[in-house]
Amino acid sequence: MKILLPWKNKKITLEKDLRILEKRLSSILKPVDPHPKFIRNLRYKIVGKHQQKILGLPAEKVRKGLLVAGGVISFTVVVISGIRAIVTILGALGLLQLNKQIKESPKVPPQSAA
Amino acid sequence: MVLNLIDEDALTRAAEGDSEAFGVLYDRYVARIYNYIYYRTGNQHDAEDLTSRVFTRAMRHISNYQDRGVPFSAWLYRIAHNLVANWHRDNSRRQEVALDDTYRTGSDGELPESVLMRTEEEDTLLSIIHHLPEDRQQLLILKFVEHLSNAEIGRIMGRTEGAIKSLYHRTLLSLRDEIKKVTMVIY
Repeated sequence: MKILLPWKNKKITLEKDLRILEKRLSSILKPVDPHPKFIRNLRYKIVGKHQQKILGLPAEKVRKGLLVAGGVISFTVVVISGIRAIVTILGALGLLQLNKQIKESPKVPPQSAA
Repeated sequence: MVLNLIDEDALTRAAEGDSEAFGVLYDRYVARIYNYIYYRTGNQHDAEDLTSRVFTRAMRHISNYQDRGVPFSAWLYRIAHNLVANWHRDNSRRQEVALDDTYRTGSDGELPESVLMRTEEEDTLLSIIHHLPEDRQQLLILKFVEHLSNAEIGRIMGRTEGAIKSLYHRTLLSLRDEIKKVTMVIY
């Protein structure tokens, strides 16, 4: 027969009590789910108003898209400007050439009326 | 991808004004902060109001947040803790103990009498928990609701793991004594 000393018995009772208490606490203190609408609205209130959402796309994608679009537009403008510059230069050269030809051609005296 | 950012990177980006990075942190911690406040205030309405204030304040002061080895969650809990303390001070005259019935449901087939008895027992225990010092309440919520380890709780509460273990033991002992007192008064 195992004899339990009074102070040892007290310790066992204490440990048992604490285990029961822990069980009761874990059955009462359970995580609760906040209302999804509340979570959504608060997110919009805090983050949404700063976020640039276009057609439901995340801000990062929108930013990248705008960057690419800006790049394409700039490139087109540069190409068009280049073509215009070349055309202008060619036109100017043509004009100079024409001017030169006019200057070099012999002057024909005006024919007097017979 | 912003969603995969670790807290530190999300914090850096959020501090630079990237609201999407703050959104990631929000998604990660909103339920935890809500739970903490819910168990500290005892009702859904105030829990929602205070959770909203915690994140509004965090968003406003995110650029002031400095990583001194304290996790971001600890900073959020600190804000929540202060707001709850102010809330208790403002509502000190009001008796606010019992939790909403929103999450109280009896299991199928449970007799109404036993549901009532269980609810009364739970209310008594919750009432005792609400009368504990704030740090002990926080410890119990982080341990049982958030299921955090002693080390994690220590980081949040700014104490060592050993100190948390010791505080937890003392909390259980005082809870047990309080329950005994209440039971003796009732019966």
